Amino acid sequence: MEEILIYSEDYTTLCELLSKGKSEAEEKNIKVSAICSEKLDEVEKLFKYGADKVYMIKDLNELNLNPEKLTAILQKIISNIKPIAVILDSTKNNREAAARIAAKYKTGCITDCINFKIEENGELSAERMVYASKAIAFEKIKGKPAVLTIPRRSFKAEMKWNNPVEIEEVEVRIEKTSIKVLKTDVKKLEGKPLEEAEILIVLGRGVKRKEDCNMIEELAELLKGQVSCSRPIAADLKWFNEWVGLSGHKVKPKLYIGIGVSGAIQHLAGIQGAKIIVAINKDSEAPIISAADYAIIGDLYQVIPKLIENLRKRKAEQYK
Amino acid sequence: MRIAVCVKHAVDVSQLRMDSATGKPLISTAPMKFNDLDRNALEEAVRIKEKIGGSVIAITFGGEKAREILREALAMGADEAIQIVNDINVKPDTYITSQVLSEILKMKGPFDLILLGEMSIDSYSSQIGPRISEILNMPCITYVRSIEVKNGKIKAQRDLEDRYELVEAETPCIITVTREINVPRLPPLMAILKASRKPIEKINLSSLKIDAEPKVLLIDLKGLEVKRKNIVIKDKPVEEMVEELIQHLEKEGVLEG
Repeated sequence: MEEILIYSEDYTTLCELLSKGKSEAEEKNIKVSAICSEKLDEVEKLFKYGADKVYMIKDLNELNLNPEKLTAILQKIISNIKPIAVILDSTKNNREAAARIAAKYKTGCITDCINFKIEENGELSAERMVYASKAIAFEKIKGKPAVLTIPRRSFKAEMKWNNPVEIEEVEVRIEKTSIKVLKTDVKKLEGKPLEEAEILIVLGRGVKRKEDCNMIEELAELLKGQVSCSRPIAADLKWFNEWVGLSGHKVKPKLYIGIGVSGAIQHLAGIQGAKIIVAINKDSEAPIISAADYAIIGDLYQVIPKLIENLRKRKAEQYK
Repeated sequence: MRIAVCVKHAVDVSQLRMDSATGKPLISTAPMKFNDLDRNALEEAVRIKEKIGGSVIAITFGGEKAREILREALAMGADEAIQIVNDINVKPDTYITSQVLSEILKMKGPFDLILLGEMSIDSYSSQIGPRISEILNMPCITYVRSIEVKNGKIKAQRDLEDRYELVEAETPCIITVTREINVPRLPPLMAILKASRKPIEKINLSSLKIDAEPKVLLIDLKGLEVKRKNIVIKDKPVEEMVEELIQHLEKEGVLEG
């Protein structure tokens, strides 16, 4: 029986990919299997989310699973089961491992797919955004296994299967890796994942000082929204640890408010999924203005306090 | 230290237009540019050379016009430049491109360091570095925002989603860099003039022993234009502008999570 192999170190994502994989594979009589750590508590639930089989790796330390080790684990399982496809969640380390696996098996790999399907002949076709999200490419993979990476929250995890539990323990002995990790600094991430934010307030380079974030936090609190930033604010100034954009988080809130964000193409590509885009910027020529639903041309240091004042007033009236 | 940098002549996505009739992006006529992240990689290579000595060679695989970015690379401080010409009109995917670059790296090697951008601005696949590392059997450090070279050892800081990782590897080694690693120099006029006299070596794809059958086939490409309302509020007292915005947002039903 043909098989699809799925891996994510994030439990929710693993379930999402299993459900999507199972719905695509079911009719074609293709098996869907998951790789997970023996430390995972809810292994049995994976079978309800669509898994037919689970390969349980002994001594899998999730955080330290560097691309070399992950490649070795995948290779061991792939060489045994010869799957038609390998699907990973699109983290940076997984994207590296995906490319390595594709190179090892001389096959095709598509990173950051937004959708995929199994063709009648067992080949995989996938969709992904290219040209800074200005276009969608529809592509087909030749060679076995087809390798895909898929961003988190792309599909819904559905608990609707009743597959029998089948777990195989796999021991992978990893020789010394060529890269030694000397030190790990965990980034302090605030709030829930940006992908899940309903209202997202994003600050850009127009915000001059770190202290000014307080005013934006205040606005976020009134709107019950989450605050993030554009790439230079996080990557260069390090006021935040994450950023919104193609190279950071691709977001899909119902309301996005860009404050002093100029709108570099990579940033705009990352906010395409927003229902409503609002821009507050003093430069009427900034690219974000023409990409917005509503824009205020004005100095953010005047607009934001007035916006806070207005929202406060409204709130006070509501409770009267 | 011998350093190779793989650079891409990429579609300038900010200038990409759609065909009004078909809605498809006009790729073949789109303006091209030096892939920004590869420019960071080249800058880093030149800085390492300036610090500890050695040479930098820039390699590109692309159309005839890809020469332009090799000229830029030479002006920025590369010593040699190689252009692989797609003389047999293959449709390169990451499988083919990584084989082509690996062949040249073998031919012109050995190199102590091979640098690339973390991805290209047009296709965003981030596969080339890791694929070359498998083909050449060399360690690969991806998503690097700083590099230190000391006694044949590399220390690099990787920028991952939830953490920074300081890692160490021996040379030879492949590194893919992020935008934050440096600010690429603008070469002075003298350097540009000098670079225009440096030779660029041309190698035909047909002369390389590679498997030129792509593994990813493009079936269709659709333009994606999200229509936005483009309502601009300006030239009014701030209070009024704010009130107007809030009324719009209330009507949209997007206030309060």
